Amino acid sequence: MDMNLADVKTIESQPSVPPGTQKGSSPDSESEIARLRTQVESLEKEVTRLKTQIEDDAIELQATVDEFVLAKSEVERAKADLERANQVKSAFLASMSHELRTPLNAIINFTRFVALGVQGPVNEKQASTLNEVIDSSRHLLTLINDVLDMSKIESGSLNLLFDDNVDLKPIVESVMSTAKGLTGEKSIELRAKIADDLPAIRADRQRVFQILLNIMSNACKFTEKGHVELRANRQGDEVVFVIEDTGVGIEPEDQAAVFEAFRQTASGLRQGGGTGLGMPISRSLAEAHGGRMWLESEPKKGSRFYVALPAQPPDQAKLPVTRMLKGGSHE
Amino acid sequence: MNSQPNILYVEDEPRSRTVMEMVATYLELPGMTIFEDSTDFLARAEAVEPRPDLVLLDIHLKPHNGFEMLSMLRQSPRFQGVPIVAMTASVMNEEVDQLRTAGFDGCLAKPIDMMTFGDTLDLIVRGENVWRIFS
Ligand SMILES: Nc1ncnc2c1ncn2[C@@H]1O[C@H](COP(=O)(O)OP(=O)(O)OP(=O)(O)O)[C@@H](O)[C@H]1O
Ligand SMILES: [Mg+2]
Repeated sequence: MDMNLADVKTIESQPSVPPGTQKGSSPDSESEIARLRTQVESLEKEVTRLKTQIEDDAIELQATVDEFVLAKSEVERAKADLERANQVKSAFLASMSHELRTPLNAIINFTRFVALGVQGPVNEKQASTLNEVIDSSRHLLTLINDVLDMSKIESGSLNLLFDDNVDLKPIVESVMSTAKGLTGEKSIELRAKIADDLPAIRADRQRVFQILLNIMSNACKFTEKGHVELRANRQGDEVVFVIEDTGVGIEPEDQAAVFEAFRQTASGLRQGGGTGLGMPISRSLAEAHGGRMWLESEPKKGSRFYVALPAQPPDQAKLPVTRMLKGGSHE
Repeated sequence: MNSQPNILYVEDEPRSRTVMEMVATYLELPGMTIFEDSTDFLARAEAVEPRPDLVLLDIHLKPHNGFEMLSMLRQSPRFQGVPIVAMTASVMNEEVDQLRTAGFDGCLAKPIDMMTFGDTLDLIVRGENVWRIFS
């Protein structure tokens, strides 16, 4: 571009052509030349302007590229940090689980051994104190399990142990018998209604038990009088459980929070105890079965919790792939 | 089960061994052999009389870990067809995945439940795979 301009200039700077020797050396052609010259000059200016602008743009672009490269390496570093942190976290949780369970194994079983009277007679008072120790230890174990479950769910590494043809009746029965111990002195009628045509389903037995027990224990916790009823019915290709209580109920604006980790409603907090993990874990477990969980509630009247599990979970319900600590160490 | 199963339990942690001794007393399991891991582990395991109907292995052991002991036992003619189950407090998903992949016949989480332990052993001896990963 520069070259062409220079050429134009050279031609123009030779105006001294002898008159008459050139065709069209009339006043007309002279004004034409003048016009062309101004045009060329303004073009020249425009080109210079564009040139500086391009140079400025190039500098700016380079700065942007530099920034981008820097940002990219920062993102990469952050990603590596995050992966490392995730690995550390999961190794920490695995080791915490191990370290806490080992002494609990001794506490629970040593105490039970004495309470059972194997080492000599235990009077009623002593037996009941020892059973308190066992209950508290089992409670501690539940908390450990809940926190670990929550972190598995968070990291997408919750795996279910599916079995085919899981009979739900014995699961419901053992939930009911465990729940009996949770009503304490309260006058609550506990009842279960299991449909005769309930199909055997593909499910993780212990997790189904865990979901139902979590809901039942809330129902017993938040109900002072009336009933807590567990119903199980077949609906199409699903089994639907309904746990109905006549307790304090949940305000409409609080209903979503019930399924959020560590959230408790005002009544939940008043009740004291609990970590607010039972419901979010239960819902995630139901979803890992390819199912759903929801609630209906009227304040001061009671609540109904629903769990729908497909008889045959879709293949993706073998969900979710283990992401953390692949090939991790066992030492 | 008509007669009680003979069980071999390998465990390094002294309190966990005591727990198992108590469980054996309570459930009246006379055929319970318990020992620590050692360099001559396989020879000692093969010398146990009568032959165990079931082997319970802790995982975090020295000098061998549970995975190494599993493959040693699997290669031993004496332990062909004997169920081998992990008895561990390490029950995060990744760890259980590894137990399954390694070929354990099941896993019992610590703490063990003394009240249901006998039934669980019966299931395993009858050939069921039991993955009781939380209690
Ligand atoms: N049946 C119910 N009636 C009234 N409120 C309920 C009921 N079930 C749950 N909630 C409310 O939802 C909150 C969350 O329940 P969730 O089971 O997750 O936690 P929690 O029972 O408080 O503690 P955790 O189950 O972890 O011991 C409860 O604190 C309570 O406020
Ligand atoms: Mg709860």
